[in-house]
Amino acid sequence: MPEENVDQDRQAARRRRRRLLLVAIGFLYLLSVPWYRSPSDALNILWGLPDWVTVAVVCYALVAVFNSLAWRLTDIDDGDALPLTLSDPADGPPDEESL
Amino acid sequence: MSFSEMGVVALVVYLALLLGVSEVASRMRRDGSPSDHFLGGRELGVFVLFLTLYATAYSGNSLLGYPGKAYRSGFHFIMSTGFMMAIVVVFHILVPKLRPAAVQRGYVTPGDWVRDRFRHDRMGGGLTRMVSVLMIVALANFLLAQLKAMGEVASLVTGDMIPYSWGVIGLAGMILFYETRGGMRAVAWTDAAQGILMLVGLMTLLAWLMSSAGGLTAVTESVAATRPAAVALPDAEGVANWFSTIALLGLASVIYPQAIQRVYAAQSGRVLTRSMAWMTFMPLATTLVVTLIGVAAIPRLELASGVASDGVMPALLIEWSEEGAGSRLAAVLVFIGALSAIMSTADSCLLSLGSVLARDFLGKTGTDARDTRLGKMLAALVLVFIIPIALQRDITLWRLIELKMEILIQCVPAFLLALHWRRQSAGATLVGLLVGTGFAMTATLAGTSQWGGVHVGVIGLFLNGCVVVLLSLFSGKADRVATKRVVVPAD
Repeated sequence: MPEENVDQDRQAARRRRRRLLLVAIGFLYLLSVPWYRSPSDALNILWGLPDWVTVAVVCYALVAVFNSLAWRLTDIDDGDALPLTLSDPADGPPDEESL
Repeated sequence: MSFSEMGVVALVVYLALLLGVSEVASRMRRDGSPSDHFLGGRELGVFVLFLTLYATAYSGNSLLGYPGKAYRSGFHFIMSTGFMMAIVVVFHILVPKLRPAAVQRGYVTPGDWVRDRFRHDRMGGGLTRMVSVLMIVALANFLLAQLKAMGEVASLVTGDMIPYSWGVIGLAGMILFYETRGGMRAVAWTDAAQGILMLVGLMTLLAWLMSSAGGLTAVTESVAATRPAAVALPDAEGVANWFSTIALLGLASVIYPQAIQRVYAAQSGRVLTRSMAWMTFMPLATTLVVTLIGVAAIPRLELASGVASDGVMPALLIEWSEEGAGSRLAAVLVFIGALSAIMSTADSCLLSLGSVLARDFLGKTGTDARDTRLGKMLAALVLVFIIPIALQRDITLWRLIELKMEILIQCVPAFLLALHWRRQSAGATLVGLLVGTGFAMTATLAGTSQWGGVHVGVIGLFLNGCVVVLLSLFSGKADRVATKRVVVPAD
């Protein structure tokens, strides 16, 4: 397989992993807020904190790890192509990809 | 040596260090261009960029406002760790596309992006100016909160040997001096030192609080006994408020002009992603810590609501300082750490204010030293206007942050959406921005800051976004229809 294709596959895999991490972060945010618990539940201490607070802290710790990994998988080259949104309207109508 | 005397000595040493840093930064200047002054010549490395991002994001609000908020609302304020982390998550939408454009097109301010993005649109200039007005209001608001916090801390750490008003005026003058001399380099380098001081100070204070209270479980049990509501699960409105606060602060904070300018100022894209990868952990080391400090104060302190709650952190430090000479020194260092956090945010606000006023509001987009001088002069003028307001002590810091965010969040479509959606038009964005801002401001002035726990700024953004999308689609469709009408007769 040509080296160019190997590079493209690797970049595509990095982008996929990054996307998965960002989706996982979304789920962790949903889990961190105790919308699924009743306000009348009795106080239950877990690891020194009310259990719903511990769940939130664990979620945010995981968000930090996942987000750090996602940033490490983000490639920003200052010479990258400009966003399509900066292109001149005279270049033609917006294509599907840019929408 | 008494606490006040130690405080005065520490303050003098700290200010002398700042002057030294600003002198070195001033000698490092390459030219007087806006890019060199406001962005440090775009050469901030990973370490300095990370610490300046950190010290700028965590401010007087984080150190004085947040413990006060945690003291008032209890463990619910654990949401603050979530919303501070959300900022670094939301940056994924902004940074990868904005950074290459900023470098290739030479952006200095946030408005440079808006102007460039909508340069073919006749409403582009109006939109840039409107965005800059909202940013100036938000920055001035943020700066005001920092000046107030500076005055409070200077007065506390010196036992009122330096009164509140002297603290506000003197420290504001100091910031203006080193920011004018050294620009972004002075700001970023002092931020780096200030960030380290803040981090060490907070960790030390938390360790003392936990050890003196007998550990985390003892603190939680004690809080539950003193104020059961502080450990109770949030009700439906509390849950809605949790989500809303994450949305409000996560989205609005990435639009901070000073944050966007640090995206521009990084040495390279790789440096930026490395700094972000570190930044994401800082809420655990800072916001979580100040939340626990505020909650741990519930059984220890009896403070009235409102302004007095901002005094939670100082009250704890004063209590700590009474335990002996070692504690006194540590408490003074935490105070100086808090002061440095506040000043690091204030200097960044001031630097951004000057550039946004000159380039985005007045349209002085030149690249020579005259444009830089104009920015510096405007920053000084703003400071002169804000200081008298800062001398009023009767507004809580938390309310100031919320007001600022409700305004700033309305600029989100001009950045996060406009970076990704080509069909978005300047006219639609301007109308959306006016609708969202009008709604948020009217509701706030009518005394309503939330509906069912959701901030009016978030509701305003929803309306704003709907208007932008619908009008952009409609105007795009109208353009296509018009094009067809022109083409048909030719056939």
